Amino acid sequence: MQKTILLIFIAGILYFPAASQTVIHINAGSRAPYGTYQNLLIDISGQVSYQRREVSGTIKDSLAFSITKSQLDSIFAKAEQTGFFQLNNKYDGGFADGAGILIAMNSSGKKKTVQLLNTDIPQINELVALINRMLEPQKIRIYYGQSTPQK
Amino acid sequence: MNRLLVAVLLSTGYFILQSCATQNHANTIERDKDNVCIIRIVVQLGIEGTDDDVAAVNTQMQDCFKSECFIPCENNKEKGCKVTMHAIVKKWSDIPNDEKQNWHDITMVDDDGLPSNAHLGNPNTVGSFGQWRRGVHPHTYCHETMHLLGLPDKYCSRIYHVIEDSIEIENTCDPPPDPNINCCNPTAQRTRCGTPCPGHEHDLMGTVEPDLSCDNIRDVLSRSGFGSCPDECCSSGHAYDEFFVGPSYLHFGDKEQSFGAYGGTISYTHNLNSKFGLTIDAGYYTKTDKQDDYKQKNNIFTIGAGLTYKPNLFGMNTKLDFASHAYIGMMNYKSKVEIGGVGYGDESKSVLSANLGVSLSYKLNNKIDLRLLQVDYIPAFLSDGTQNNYRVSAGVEINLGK
Repeated sequence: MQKTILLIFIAGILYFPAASQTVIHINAGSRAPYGTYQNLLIDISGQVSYQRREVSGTIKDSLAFSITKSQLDSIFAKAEQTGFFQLNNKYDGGFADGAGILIAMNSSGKKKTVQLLNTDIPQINELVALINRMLEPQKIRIYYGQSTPQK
Repeated sequence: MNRLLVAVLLSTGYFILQSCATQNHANTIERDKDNVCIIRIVVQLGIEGTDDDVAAVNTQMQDCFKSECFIPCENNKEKGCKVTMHAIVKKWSDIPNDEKQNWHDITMVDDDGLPSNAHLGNPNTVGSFGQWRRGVHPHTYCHETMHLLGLPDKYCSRIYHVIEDSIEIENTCDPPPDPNINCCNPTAQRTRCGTPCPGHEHDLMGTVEPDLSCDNIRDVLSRSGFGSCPDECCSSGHAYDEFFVGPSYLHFGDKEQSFGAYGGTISYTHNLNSKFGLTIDAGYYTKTDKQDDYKQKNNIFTIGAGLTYKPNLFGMNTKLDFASHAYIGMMNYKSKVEIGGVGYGDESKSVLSANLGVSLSYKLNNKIDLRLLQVDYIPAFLSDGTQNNYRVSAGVEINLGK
């Protein structure tokens, strides 16, 4: 009996941090000393934490919800398909201020972070478009200026 | 009178046209052709947008550049260079194709919640570009225009990488250090944070709240090679002359008699530079004694020339001015005695004299100072010894050519 309790306890210790482990992180929006940005965290169980904040710290929106396991898997599949893990770490349009996106993933231990500053590339646009379709029911759209024409 | 009015209107029109005329660069930074002590900054913004966009940018830029900036000389803070700023805003489609390279290309988009942006520009060269949001904070276009003029942001920022559990340094302060060494502390929830660099908490380039400051303009000039004022704007060539006039009291005394006389003093100083000037000083003072039929009239005339020295005792940014002087000259004394209306005897003598004195003035405006007090020791060198005379004056100084 004691061994069973100990096993359950150890399993719990191992399970809960793994369950809350963030596997997708997106920061999109202001890259200026002013303005707002969006912060989206998805953990391995599909729990989503979303906030929109001013750079000064004030929270403008906050939401918690979940996506399905298959939706999460489809994000990783899209990342593989678009070659996300082979992209450069940073793409910089060379502007002062403006907007950008940081998108980071941990796909079964394979980690990758890509940042765009005042520019966009098709691979990230495609990936974000998929995520935005999943976020539509929550009326959230990850936005970093990707639809506006760039110089 | 009419000719004068026409001349004034024509010259005013000329300067307005000159300041608004299209320039050969997107950022024109140059000394005024007619006055090297004036630096002109002209920014040309070509707006890819509506007529309303052009009007909105124009309004913000007029407000942004509303104040003039003064660059003081290092050796004399009262002298220096004036900076004027103008923004010429036109619709991109109205700019001839062969001139477009001399304009910044600004694309206007609706306010989507993202900040506007701009490529850092350079002085006296082709235009840069940016994407600006409509209907944003009133200083935003001013902030972005300063980027077009070459100014970087003055804030630091950090991004927290949740998956890597690490903090990325996004922007750092130049010069270092960042505030609190680490700038700010991002977390898993607040993954991007930023704060103005030390000393830039109220700087338009650290945040968009403040107005454009003279420091911002000086920064643009420093980066463009116009950081200091030319010598000719600071040297004696631009020194002014002073004319002083005021009432005086002279205590005249010799071994036989002493009395106080009232009169007036005038002086003219040609300033060689901010510290030294050549002065000529003259005064006339009189004293009449009457007792019954006896009447004695004493007249004293002094004239001297020498050096005036202003040690800048109270600093450059005060309205008080202290000066000391040393002259050499002559003093003429005349005495006339009448008894019962009949002249009894005249006396007149001229002797070598000196003048050592100090004065304290208060600057009323650029043209006029009040000489609050001037005290002089005026020894007269007689054949049988030195006569000690004192003079106290006050009056008005008129600054000529300032």
